[in-house]
Amino acid sequence: MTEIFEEKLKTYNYELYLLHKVSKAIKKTFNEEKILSIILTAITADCALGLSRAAVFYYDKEKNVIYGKKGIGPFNEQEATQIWTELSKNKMTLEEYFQSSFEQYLSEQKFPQLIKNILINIDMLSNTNYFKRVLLEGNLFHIKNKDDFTNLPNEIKELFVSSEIVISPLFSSKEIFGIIIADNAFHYRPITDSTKTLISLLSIQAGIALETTKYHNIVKQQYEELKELHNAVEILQDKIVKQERLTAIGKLSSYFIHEIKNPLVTIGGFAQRISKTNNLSEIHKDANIIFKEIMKIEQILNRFTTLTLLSPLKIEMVNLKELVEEVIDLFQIEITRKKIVVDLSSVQNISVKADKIQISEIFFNLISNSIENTINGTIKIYAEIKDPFIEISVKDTGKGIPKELLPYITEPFYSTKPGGLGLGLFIVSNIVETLNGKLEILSEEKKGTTVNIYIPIK
Amino acid sequence: MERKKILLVEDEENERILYKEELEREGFIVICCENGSHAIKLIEKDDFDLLVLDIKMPQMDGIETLGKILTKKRNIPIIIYTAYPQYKEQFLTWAADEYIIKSADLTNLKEKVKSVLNKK
Repeated sequence: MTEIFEEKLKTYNYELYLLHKVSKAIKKTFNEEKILSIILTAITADCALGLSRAAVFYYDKEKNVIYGKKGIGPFNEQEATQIWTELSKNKMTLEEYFQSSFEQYLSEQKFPQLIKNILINIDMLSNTNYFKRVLLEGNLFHIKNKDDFTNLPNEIKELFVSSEIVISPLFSSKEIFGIIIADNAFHYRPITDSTKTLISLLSIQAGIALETTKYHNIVKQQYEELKELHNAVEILQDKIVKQERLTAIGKLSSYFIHEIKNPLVTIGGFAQRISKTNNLSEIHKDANIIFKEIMKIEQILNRFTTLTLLSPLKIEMVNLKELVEEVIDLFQIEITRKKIVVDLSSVQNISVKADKIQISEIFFNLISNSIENTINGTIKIYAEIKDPFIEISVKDTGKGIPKELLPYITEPFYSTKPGGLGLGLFIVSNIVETLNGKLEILSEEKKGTTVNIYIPIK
Repeated sequence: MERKKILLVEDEENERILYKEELEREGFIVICCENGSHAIKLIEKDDFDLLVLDIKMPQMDGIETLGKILTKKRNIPIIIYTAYPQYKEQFLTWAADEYIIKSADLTNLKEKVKSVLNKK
C-alpha cells in the first residue's frame, strides 16, 4: 500500500518537476517557434515524456483547414536508431535540450518537413474522425486500437504508422486553435495515463503561452508603428519649424531690402557724387539728402527695438486722449484720402501710469490696420478706465478678416497686405502680454473688425 | 543727335533725384514720376525712348504697371530697376529688356540704359 502511494507521489513529483521546467523555459520567450520547440521537445526528449514524434497543427477557422506547423522526430526506424544512438552517447538534461541546437537539426529532417506540408480540409472529414472530434469536443484522445486508426485523416495515417497516438487540443482563452499529436513509433513504449495528463497540461501551457505571445507581438508591432509614427511626426514638426524660420527670414529680408537697401543705395549714390565734385553747394545739398536717408534707417531700426522690446521701459503719466490724437495726426493724409470718419468721443481725457512708447505702439498699429482696411467708413476708438483695467478698443467698419485667418493674425510676419511685413498685431499682442493684459479680436468679413485690449492697472 | 527721353518711375524722392541727375549728366532727358498710374498717364500722352521702372511702390506696383503699359505700348524698351533680385526670371519672360539690381554704384544702370537705347 505504502509502495503504491510512494510510487504515485513520485509520479506527481515528476510531473510537477517537468511542468515547472517547461513553464520556466516558456516564460523566457515571446517567440512562437521557440515555444513550440520547447513543448515538442518536452514531449519527445528521453529525459522528459520520451515519446517518439510529436507535431503541432494549427486550425484556420476561416478556411476550415488544419495545417502542419511544426514537428519533431525521426521519419523511420533507421533514422530513429541513428538519432537515439547519437543522443545516448551524450545524455542531456531538459534545459540543455531547450538551449541546444539539436531541435534545429531535427527540424531539418524529413519528418518535420513532411509535417509542414500537411493541409487537411475539415469539411472532408467524417464526424467520427479524431481530428474533427478534437476540434469539436476539446478532449484528449488516446488511439491504440487498430480499428481506431481508420478514424484519422489519410495524411496522418501515412505518417504516424505506430501502435499508439495521443491527440490533444490547443486552447486559447476563447477557442481551440490547434492540435498536438504524438506517437510511440519505433520504440513502442506504451503511453501511460501520467504521460497523457502531462501532454494535456503541456497543451494548456502552450495555448496560454502562444496566445500571450500573439498579443505581445501585436502590442510590440503597434508600439513599433507608433514609435515610427512619432518619429515621422517629429521630423515633420522639425521641417515645419525650419520652414517657418525660412519664411520669417524671407519676409524679414524682403523688409530690409525695401526699407534699408533703398536708402543705402541713395546714400551711396550721393556719396559717390560728393567724392567727384568740388562744388560746395552741391556737396551741401547731397550731404543733406544723405543725412535724411540715414535718419530713415535709424527710424526703421528704432521700430525693431520696440518689436523685440529691448528698449528699457519709461513709466510716466500718459494722457490717453493726447496720445491717441498724436497717433491720428500721423495718418491724417490717409484718413482724408479714404474718407474715413474717426470717432474719438469715447477716448477719456485721463492720464494713466504707463510706458508711452508701448501704449502708442498699440494705438499706432491698431489704427494703421483699421485705416488700411477701411474706405468711406468709420473708425471708433475707445480708451477708458474701468477699474481694475484700462480698456482700449479700436473698432472699424472695414473689410474684416476672414474667419479662417483669425488664428494666425497675431503671428509674426503674417500679413494679408501685399508687401505688408505682418508685425503690427504681433507687436501689439507682445506688448499686451508683457503688461499681463488680454487681447481680443472680433471680426466679420465685409462688416469690420474690433480689437479689444484690457490692461490691468498697477 | 536728338537727346533720348527716359521715363523714370520711382516712389522714393531722393532716389528719383539721384537717378534723374545722374542720367541727365549722361545726356538724356529724364522725366520722373512717383507711381504706376501716373506713369501710364504720361506714356499715353507722350513718347518715350525708355522706361526705367521700380517694383515695390505703393498703390500700383511695378508688376501691375508693366502689365498695363505693355497693353498700351508694346514697343517701349523697359528696364526694371529694383532692390529685389527674386523677380528677375519673371520679368525677363515678361518682356522687360533688362533687370538691374539697385546699387549705390550707378555705373551699371548708366551702361544698361545706353546699351538698351543703342539697340533700339
